[in-house]
Parts: sequence; C-alpha cells; structure tokens
Amino acid sequence: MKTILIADDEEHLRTLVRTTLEDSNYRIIEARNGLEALRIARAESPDLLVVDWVMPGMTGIEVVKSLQGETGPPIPFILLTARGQDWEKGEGAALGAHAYLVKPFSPLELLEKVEEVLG
Amino acid sequence: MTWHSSDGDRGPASDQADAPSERLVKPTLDTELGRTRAQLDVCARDLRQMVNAEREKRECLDATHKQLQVYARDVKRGFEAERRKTRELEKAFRDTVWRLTRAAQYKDNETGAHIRRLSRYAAVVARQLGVPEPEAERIAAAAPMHDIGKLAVPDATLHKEGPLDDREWEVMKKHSGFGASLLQQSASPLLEIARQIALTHHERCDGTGYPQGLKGEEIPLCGRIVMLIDQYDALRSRRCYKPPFDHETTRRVLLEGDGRTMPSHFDPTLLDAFCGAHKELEAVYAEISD
Repeated sequence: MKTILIADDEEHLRTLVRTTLEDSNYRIIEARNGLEALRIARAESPDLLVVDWVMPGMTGIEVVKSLQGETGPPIPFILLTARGQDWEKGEGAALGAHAYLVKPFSPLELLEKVEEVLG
Repeated sequence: MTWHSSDGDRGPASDQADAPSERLVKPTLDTELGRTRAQLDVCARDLRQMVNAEREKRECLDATHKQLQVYARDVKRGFEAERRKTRELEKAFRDTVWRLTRAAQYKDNETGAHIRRLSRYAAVVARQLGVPEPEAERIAAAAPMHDIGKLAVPDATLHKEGPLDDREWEVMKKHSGFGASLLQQSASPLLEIARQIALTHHERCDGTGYPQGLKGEEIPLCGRIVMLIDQYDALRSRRCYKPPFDHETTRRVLLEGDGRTMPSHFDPTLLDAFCGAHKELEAVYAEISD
C-alpha cells in the first residue's frame, strides 16, 4: 500500500483530501504545518506529498526544498494553493511538482494526478 | 455618578460651600471621563478583534464552501460518467447477445428479420398488457433467443424436408430444454428471462404444449407472450407445409382456430392484448420483411 502525506494547516481540507484518496487503497497521513510535514516525511518516507503552499512557520515549497536537499530518492509532490499565480506555478514546476492545484480544486483531478504518480 | 452623589451628601443646606466643591468635583469628572475612555478603547479593541476573528472565520467558511461546491460538482460528474459507462456496457452486452443470437440463426437458415420482428411484437404485446417498461424492454430483448437451443439439434433433423418421424420430433422438441440449459444460472436478468422464454415458448395454456405440459399461469408471462407472437409470425410466413397468410387470416386463425392452431392454446388475456394491438403487429410485419 502506497503512503500519501497531506500537509495543510486547514483541518477541513486535510479531511476532504483524506476522504478523496482513502477509497483508492492509499494510506493517508497528515501534517498540520510545514515543520510537522518535514518531520513526518523524514520518518515515514511517503510515496507522495500533497502539500499546501501557504502554511504557518514553514511553507510547502520550503518543505519540498529541504527534502530535496537530503539524500534518498526525491519524493514526488503535488502543490495546493489558494492564490493560483503564475510565478507560483513556475516555481513549483521548476522544483518538479507533478501537479499544481488551485483551491478550490477538483477532487477528480486530484485523484487523477495521484494515480498518475502512484499508478 | 460620584459628583452627583457627593452633591447629594452635602444636601441643600450647604449653599455657602460652592467654590471649594467645584474644585473637588472637576478633577473627579476628568478622571472618570479618562477611565471611561480607556474602558471604551478596550471595548473597541476587543470588538475589532472579534470582528477580525469573525471575518477570518467567514473567509475560512467561504473557502470551505467553495471547495465543497467543487466536490459536489465532481460527485455529480463522477456519477454521470459512471451511469454513461453502465449504459455503454449494457449496450455492448445487448449487442453481443444479439450477434450471438444471429450467429445461431445461420444454422437455422433464418434471416435476422424473424427475430427482429419477434422483439418488436414482444414489446408491443407486453406494453399492451401493462407490463412495466424496464420489464417489457427486457422481454423484447430476450425474445430473439427463444430458439437458441436449435444449435444442439442435428442438421439432418433441423433441415429435413417433409415431416419428421417420431424420434426426430422428440429430438426437435428438446430444443426448448437445450436453450434453457445454455442460458441457465446467469447473473444477468436479461438472460434469466431468455432462459424462461427458451424453456416455455412451446407450452400451451391448455397443457398440450411441451416440454413440461404446463398450464395457464404455470407458464411464465414472457413465455406466453413469445408463444403467441411466434405463432403469429409463423402464420404470416411461408412454411414448407403452408403459404403465407395475410394479417386478417392470421388473426382469424389465432382467435377461432384452424384445427392445428386452437384458441385454447393461448392465455385469454393474451388474446385480448392481441386484439387490442393487432394493428401494431401488422405494421411491424409490414415494416420488417425477409
């Protein structure tokens, strides 16, 4: 079973993402902020990160950059954002984001993107 | 409050003490005003905080609401995609069944016209009887498979010119059972109806039919329907032993009998339905010819 880490400071959003993906035989783990995401990602080596851009303390993009600086294969990630701006999309793409979803995002699209990564 | 109460304390008799009391009251008033203003500032700050918190909560609710709307839209989209897929699968399934039925007819030297007509007649009669639409539609889709068991009848018997001897006739009559066993134990409601039709479409209401000699309502409705319309189509068509009959002659034979076909073979309710819808059957025959 593949593991997906959802990092978002909004509880309702984590719940929605969990509900969307749990049906498809993925193990879902949650982080409430950037630092927690970093800690859990190091401990659990998830197969995919679904990470919110704006979080208190450490942004999603900082989490991704930190993890990419470490040894081991890079973890694929999907970015979530409420802003939906071009520079964000560009930066996400430059870091190798598999997808960039603007809130409110389509759950079908999320599911599709997750399946593209995890097969 | 304080200056009022101190005024009251002194009472109306102390009128010569006005000047010093002015001096005492003024600073007290200023202090009170200052305190009230400070209190108001605190209230205003709290109010602002409440308003801001309220606004944040509202924004969060708005975001949640928007996200849920997208979820609802996707649920609908997913549901519709699922329904479309189910419909496509159902269509593909019906198509496959139809083609296999057609394949079986090659052996019978039948054209597709007979089973296409049978399907249409079945729909007409079932609707005339008030059978609910999905069921009527299923009977119509299953009716073409009524003779599928002829696949198991040897060609020499099936294609024999002239009358069959007793042994050959016994083999021929087995096609009902062959068809039923081919179609049995299917999870598909369509194939289950097809099985009942294959098994009972030669049963007669008076119990003189085969293979089980069932009577009246012992024969499933779908079997009674196909028995009637198969007879109608046989009478309308050329056979080695008879010329094709026109609609009126056929109608008379079904309703009054001709020695070979008897009204007692048919469920009276079915004959009523036939009378109510015979024009439509005639139209189907005219539309789909060999």
